[in-house]
Amino acid sequence: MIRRAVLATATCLAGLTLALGAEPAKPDLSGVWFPDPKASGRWPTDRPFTPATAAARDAWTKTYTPIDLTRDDENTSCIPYTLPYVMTTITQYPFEIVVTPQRVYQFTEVFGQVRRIELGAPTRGDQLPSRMGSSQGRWEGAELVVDTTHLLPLHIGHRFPSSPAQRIEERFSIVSDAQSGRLLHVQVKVTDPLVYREPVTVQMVYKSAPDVELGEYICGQDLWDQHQAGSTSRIPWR
Amino acid sequence: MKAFTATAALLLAGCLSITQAATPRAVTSVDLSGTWLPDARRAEAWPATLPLTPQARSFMEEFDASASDSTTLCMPFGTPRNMLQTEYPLEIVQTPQRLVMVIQPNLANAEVRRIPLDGRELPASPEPSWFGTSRGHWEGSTLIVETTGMRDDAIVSGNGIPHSSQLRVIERLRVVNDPQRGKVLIDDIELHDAQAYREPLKTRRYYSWAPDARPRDPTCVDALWIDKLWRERLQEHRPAQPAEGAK
Repeated sequence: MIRRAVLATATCLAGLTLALGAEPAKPDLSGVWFPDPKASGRWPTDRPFTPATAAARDAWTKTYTPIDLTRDDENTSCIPYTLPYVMTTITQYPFEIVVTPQRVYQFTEVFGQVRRIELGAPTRGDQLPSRMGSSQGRWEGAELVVDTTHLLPLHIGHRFPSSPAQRIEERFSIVSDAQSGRLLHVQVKVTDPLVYREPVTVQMVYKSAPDVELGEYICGQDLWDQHQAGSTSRIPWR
Repeated sequence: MKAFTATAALLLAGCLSITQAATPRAVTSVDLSGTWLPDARRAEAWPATLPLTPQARSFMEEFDASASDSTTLCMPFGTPRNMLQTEYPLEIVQTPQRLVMVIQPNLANAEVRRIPLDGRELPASPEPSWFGTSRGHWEGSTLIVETTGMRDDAIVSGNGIPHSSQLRVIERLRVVNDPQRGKVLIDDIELHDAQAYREPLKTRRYYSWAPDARPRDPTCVDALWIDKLWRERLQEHRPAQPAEGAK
């Protein structure tokens, strides 16, 4: 009890310090968030590809046209998203942010992915390229600024190709809106000098959904159900 | 300056009243958060003869992994298999009101178990799922986790121990300081399922503290996708082979 009282006093005194002109409070990003497609921005229609990338894409398209997105899109084949598209894909699926002193975790419902943003010392150990990359966060006032590298490159024929040099900067902030309530704003800036002549940006807006619990999203469930239905092996209690 | 002093005084008064009103909250006795590596060498083996019901025994004797093991199609382990496996790390994210367990096997999904610690009860009939519906509470420094609502097409182990949708998993998790191994997480696991077992199955798993362990990106679905789809796609673009006998 004494410990709690001391903690509460310390917290309040910290707040008082802020009021006296020190750095502003860090907003709590935790909770379940839904993308708001109307309020969010869009990627530029014409991306500023470098001449080499544009030529390579033209060649790829010429070779593989026609593209059948019901079959040739990896996401419809249960391949999960890669950053920054984890953040910018406008779907009906929520994600949850859990904040701990060392890390910010982002759990997505779609594909059941986990993202980790380090707040302390930079990541140790290996840093193999991955779909979520290696993210390091720091507070700049009331904004969480996240730098991400070591992302798995997306191939030249992808809608959004990328190279190993890709770097993403995200700025997370909380905005209180009179009509929509608590909103999470994330400004996403992609820098990839091997693919783009200049950085590409998009502004995302997410609505708070405190009563929503993330569900299980098992992309291959239908495939598994069909597999089971066609199997001679029977589940004994059905 | 007067307004500034008045604001500061007001804030200080507010702080004092908040401090006095601080009320007890949910207690998390032990910090389990972090990354833990399963210790395969110390994992308790199942008894040579399992107390299975005739239905479960028959399923296990005729078990065909290609037909009944979800992981062959990159589908999840499910609970409790995700806690019984000894290959992939367990990451625990802990807040006062909740604990999240994350296991990232080389399968399609990260297996995320959300365990409220706020005293809410388990629903009577949770919707069947791979990872189940869990509730946790502290008994001293031991976390007790009860999980129900698992799909009956998941299995307990790679050799085909089945479970029904009646399965109830009780776990007791605690941390001990081992003089040789350092911080060790122990999970005592009980499987209660009258349809599948004549008596509860019990086993124990040990985990070593591994703060630098990082999960790898899964490649299971990529392999399936490449195999099933891209091979077919590339075939279409391969130059036509000359007809037999053509020069």
